[in-house]
Amino acid sequence: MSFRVGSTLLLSKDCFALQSYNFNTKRILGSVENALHFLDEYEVDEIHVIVPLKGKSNFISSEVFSKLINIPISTPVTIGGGIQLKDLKILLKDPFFERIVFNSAIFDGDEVLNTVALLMGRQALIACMPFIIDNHKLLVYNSRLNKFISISQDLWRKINKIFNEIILLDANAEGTKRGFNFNALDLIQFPIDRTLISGGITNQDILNARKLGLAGVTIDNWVLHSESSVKGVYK
Amino acid sequence: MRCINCLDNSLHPLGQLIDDAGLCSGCNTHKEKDIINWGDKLNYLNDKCSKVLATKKNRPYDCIIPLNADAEDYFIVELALQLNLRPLLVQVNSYFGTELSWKNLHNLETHFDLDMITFNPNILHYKEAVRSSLRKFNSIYWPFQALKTSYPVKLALDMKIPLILWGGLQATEQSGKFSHHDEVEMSSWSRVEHDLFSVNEKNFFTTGVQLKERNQTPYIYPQVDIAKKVTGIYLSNYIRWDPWKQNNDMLKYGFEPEKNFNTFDNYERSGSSVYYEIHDLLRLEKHGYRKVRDHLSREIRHGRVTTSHAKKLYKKYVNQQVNVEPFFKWLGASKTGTKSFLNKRIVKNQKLIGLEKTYVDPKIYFSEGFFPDGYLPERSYLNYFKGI
Repeated sequence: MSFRVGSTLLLSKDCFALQSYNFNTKRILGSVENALHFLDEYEVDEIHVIVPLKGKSNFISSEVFSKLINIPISTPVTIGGGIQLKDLKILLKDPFFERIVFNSAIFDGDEVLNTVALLMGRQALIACMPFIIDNHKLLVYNSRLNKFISISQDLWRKINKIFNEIILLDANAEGTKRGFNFNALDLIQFPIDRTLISGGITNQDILNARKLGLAGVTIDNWVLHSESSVKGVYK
Repeated sequence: MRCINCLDNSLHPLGQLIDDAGLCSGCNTHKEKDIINWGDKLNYLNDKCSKVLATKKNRPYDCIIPLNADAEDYFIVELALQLNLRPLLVQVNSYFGTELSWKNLHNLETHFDLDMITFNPNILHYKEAVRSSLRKFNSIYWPFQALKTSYPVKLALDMKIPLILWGGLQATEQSGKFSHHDEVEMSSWSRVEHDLFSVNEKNFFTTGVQLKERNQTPYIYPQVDIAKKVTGIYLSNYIRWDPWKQNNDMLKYGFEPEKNFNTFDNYERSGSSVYYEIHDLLRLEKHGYRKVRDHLSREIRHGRVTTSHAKKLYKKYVNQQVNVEPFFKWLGASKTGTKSFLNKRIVKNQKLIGLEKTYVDPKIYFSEGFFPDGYLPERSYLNYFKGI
C-alpha cells in the first residue's frame, strides 16, 4: 500500500467534533458533518473518527457512530473509542466505515478483536497506541486504566498477530506542530511499513515518514486550519 | 454548564468547553495572551506575508482588507501600512448601514488615501435571501456573511492578489476554539463553520429560497482547489488582540463611535441598523444571550471588569427593548406578516419588542475602560450615503 496522509477527527459523546492538545486540553472544533465534509474535500486518504475516552466508561459508542451513517463522504473511515461487543452488533448491520481502531482492547479485549477479525477481516483492525517516552522506555496509554504502561514482549507478539496496523500517537506533541518523536520507532516491535504516526506532525515529518517507509501519517487538528493543509503536503 | 470566570456557558454558538476546574475554553485560551512573545509573532507575520507575496509578481495590490465599516477596519489598515503592504479595501454593502457607517467608511478611504471597491449585491435578490434566512434559520445574517466572505476571495483571485487580511478570529477570541499557535487561516471549512453558522450554500439554497441558480452565484464560495490560491490571515493570531482598546486608539484617525443603548462597546459594529437590534433579539431568542455578554466576557478576561460587576451590568442591558419595525419595513413585509412572524418566532422575548430604551452608564462598573461620546445615527437602512 502506498504512503497515506490521513486525519484524525475526535468526537465528543454528544457528537461534536473536538480538538485535543498534548493529550490533555480539549477544544470544540464544531459540527462533525462539516468537518467530515471538508476533510473529504481536502482529499485526505483516510479519516480516523475516534471518541476519546479516559478511564472506565459505560459509554455506548454505537449511539454516536450511528449518527454518522448518512453523512455522504467517499474517504475511507475508521472508527474507534469504547467499542464493545454489543456495539459491534449494531454497527456491523450497516457499516459506513472500513476499519475499527482499538486501544484498551489491545490489553484485554480478545473477544471483541476476534469478532471483528471474523466479521470484517484482520485488515480492519488497527491498534491506537498513544505513547510517551520515559527514560528511553516506551509507555503506551491504556484508556481503561487511564495511564501509560509498558508493553511486554508477549503483548507485542499478540499485537503483531492480531492487528494489521498500529497508530503511534505522540501524546506530548498531540495538537501541535512541534514534531513527532521519531525515537519511538526504535522502541516498537512492529513492522514500520504497517505503522502510522500521529501527534505533532510537521510537513518535514511527513517527508521523513515517507522516506523511512512508514505506512503513513495521521494529522490531528491542523488539517482544517487552512485551505491548503493536505494539498500543501504533496507539494 | 457555566464558566466560573466569565459570563459564557457551554451553549455558546461558536462552541465552548468548560474544563474540570470550571473554566471555559475562551478564558483558558485568553491566558495564552499573557505568555506569548508578541514581538516574535509580529515578526513571523511579516515573514509569512513576504512568503505569500513572493508567489505573485506584478500584482496591483499586496492584499485585500474586507471591511465591516467599524473601527476594526481602521486598525487593520494601520497594521497593513506598518507592514509596508499596499492594501485594496473591499466593502460588501449589507444595506444595513446607518449614515455613521458610511461616514466612517468614507473617512477611512480618504484619510489613508486608499482605493476602495464597494460591492452592491442585487438588492431584490439580497432581500429574498434575507427573508429566506429569517424564515429557515431565524437569522438575518446568512446572506451578508456569505457575500462578505466570498466576494473578497473571488476578487483576490480575479485580480491576482494573494493575501487577504481579516481582523479577529471570533472563534478564538470569543470561545477559545483554537490556540493562537494554531495560526488558523480563512478556509472553506472555517467559513461554513464560523461565518455561516454551519449552513453551507447547498443547504441554504436547497429548498424555499426563491432565487434562480445564476442569482445565487455571488453567495457561492470558490471551490477548494481554487480558493487555496489566496491566503486569508487572521491578525488576532499575531497581535495581542484587545478590540476595545485598539478600536479606541482609532479615534486619532477620525473614526466616530456610536452611542449604543445595548452595549458599553461603542466601537464594534457601530453604524449597523440591525446588529444590536433585530439581530440581537434573534440571538437572544435562539441562543439565550445578547451580544453585550460576549463583550463583558471579553473584558472580564482583559481584567477591566469583575465577574460580579459584569453580571450586574448584563442585567441592565438584557432587558433593553428592540425596535424591530424599521427592519420589517425595509424587508417589505406586510403588517400582518410581521405580526405573524413575531408571534411565532419571538416566543420567549415578546416583551422586548418595543421602543423603550434607557441609557445605561457603564463607567462605574469598570476599573478602566474606553467610553467616548458616541454619535446617534438618524437614518438607518441606507442603500448608499455620500459625505464625510
